[in-house]
Amino acid sequence: MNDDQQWLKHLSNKLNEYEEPAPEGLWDDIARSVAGGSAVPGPNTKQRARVMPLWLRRTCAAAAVAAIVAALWLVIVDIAPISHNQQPTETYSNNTDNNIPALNTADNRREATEEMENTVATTRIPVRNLAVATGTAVAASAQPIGGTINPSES
Amino acid sequence: MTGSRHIDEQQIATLAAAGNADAMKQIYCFYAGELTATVARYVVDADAVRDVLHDSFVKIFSSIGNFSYRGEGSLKAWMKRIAVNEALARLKDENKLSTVSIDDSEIDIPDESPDVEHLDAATLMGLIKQLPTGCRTVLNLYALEHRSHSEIAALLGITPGTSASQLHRAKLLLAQMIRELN
Repeated sequence: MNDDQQWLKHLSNKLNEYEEPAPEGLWDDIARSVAGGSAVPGPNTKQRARVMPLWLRRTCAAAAVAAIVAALWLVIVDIAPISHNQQPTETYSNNTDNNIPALNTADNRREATEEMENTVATTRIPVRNLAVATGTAVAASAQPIGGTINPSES
Repeated sequence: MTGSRHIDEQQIATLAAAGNADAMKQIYCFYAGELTATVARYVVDADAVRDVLHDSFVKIFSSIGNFSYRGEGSLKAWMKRIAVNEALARLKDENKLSTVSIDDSEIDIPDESPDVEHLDAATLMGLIKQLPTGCRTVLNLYALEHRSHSEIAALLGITPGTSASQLHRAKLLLAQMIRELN
């Protein structure tokens, strides 16, 4: 037997039946586990944690930040029109001190009526212009409104 | 700590397989010391040794019905195999076997065999526990479980050449540690 095998044989002979004291209380744990009916992990067994990959954690963090930013933006955008729309309410509330609402005054009613008439007048198509532009046939068709109009008469 | 005790392995295994708690405790008391030393050669941390022993014995008692007696010592060999497998599984779980494949053939130690003949078992055990996990595992499997380099390679997921170089490294480191003791 060469030197290489000799030392391995010595090592094997020395340690093959070598004993060390078993950990204290080990049998009680084993007996409990066996009585429990299954090979449950030992009391000091480090349970395998459900490890979330680093890339997934980073993605979740980025998504959370984006969600918070989006939520804040929506809140800000939503608040802005409300404060704008609230102005008339504030104006109205300012008018509650027995200030007569603007449209209730006779002058304002008159002004409003005139403004409405002016609007109607400006939007009414002048019959004469229409007849000139479209010719006799069209003017004849417009007769019920402005009477018979002959372009040559104008 | 070797004793001259005797146990009828076949009878005690049959009783334990039938669910006899006394037989199980008898098996535990008879083999716990040897299995503790076996596991402690692979897994150094005391808490880990306890866990591996616990899981090994639970596995032994839950599957002892599958044990087939093949002569004196076959029960002990069967139990040791389970304990070694549990210890290796623990090392793999903790990723401690990844160092096995490291090529460290260029360590600057004189090539000589360790003088283990004049050491007592406890001292030798203490030195083996100080070896790096990779070469300690290979040394244990080769010298004490009598596995070939091909079998070790298959068990640890390395090449037979790496297994041989790890054994060589264990030999050199052990020789150096023994030299430093004297």
